Amino acid sequence: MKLSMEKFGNVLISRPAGREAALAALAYSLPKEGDEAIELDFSNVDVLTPSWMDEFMQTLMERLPKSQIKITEGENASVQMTMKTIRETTH
Amino acid sequence: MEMLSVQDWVRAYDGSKPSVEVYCQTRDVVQARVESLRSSLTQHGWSETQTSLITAIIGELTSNAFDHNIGQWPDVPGCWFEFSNNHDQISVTIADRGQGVRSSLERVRPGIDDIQAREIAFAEHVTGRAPEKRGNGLKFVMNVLRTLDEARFEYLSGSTMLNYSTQTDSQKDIASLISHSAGIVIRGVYTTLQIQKSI
Repeated sequence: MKLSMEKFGNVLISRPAGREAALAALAYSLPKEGDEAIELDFSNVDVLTPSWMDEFMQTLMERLPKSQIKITEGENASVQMTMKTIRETTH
Repeated sequence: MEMLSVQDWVRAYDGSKPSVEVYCQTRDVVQARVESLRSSLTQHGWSETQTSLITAIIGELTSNAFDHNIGQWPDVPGCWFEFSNNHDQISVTIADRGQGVRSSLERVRPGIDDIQAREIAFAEHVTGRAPEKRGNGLKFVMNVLRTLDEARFEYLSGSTMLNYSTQTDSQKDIASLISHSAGIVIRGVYTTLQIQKSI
């Protein structure tokens, strides 16, 4: 299934907001069981930071394996730079 | 009454609340002002790419003031935030009277000095909020700055500073950007940023 990240806002900056978004996604949007791939689509997000993304992913991965999650970055520069920075520091 | 400058505010032994125009006691106040900065960039015709990247790094820097000090403020909670946009250049000042970089990182790296703390903060995947596995924010700020055509960045905490200019420092590593701040001691963190609009 695809989750449009813009549903959580176009400007995704703070850690508390990232955690809140993940908890809401787990409660209302994501399947409770099964191993269906989940696509996080950032195509229409205007601003993203590593703080928001770290918090969102870590909260999500308390319930879902990383292998089940796929990320579509889109064209936004802050989204692409956030993903690049996270890749650089975690690999 | 004479207006308190941000430099005086972050250096003073005893803290006092800044004027309401620049004082953000809580995270929601500073977030609203960061959103206002973003609107200002859009209104002045900055590109979508620059608007997005600048808003993101200002968002990271202001968030840090709260993430690393919540429940730990020595005196004045919150941060100082102001910006000016003269169409082709934006100037931003962010400051807090929190625990500072070294004090935050000493929990995970005991015995480090100010210089080592700055290198860790900007170059390693380490956070003072361990056991949380985070610490990408300042690396992200540097990654963004290195993509901009013309920017100056100054980041002071304790007795050290990191100075970066796209014109002279784009190829330098983090360690060579850090120095002692010549007798200036900042109680929390003091950051200034000037960015020129790309043509």
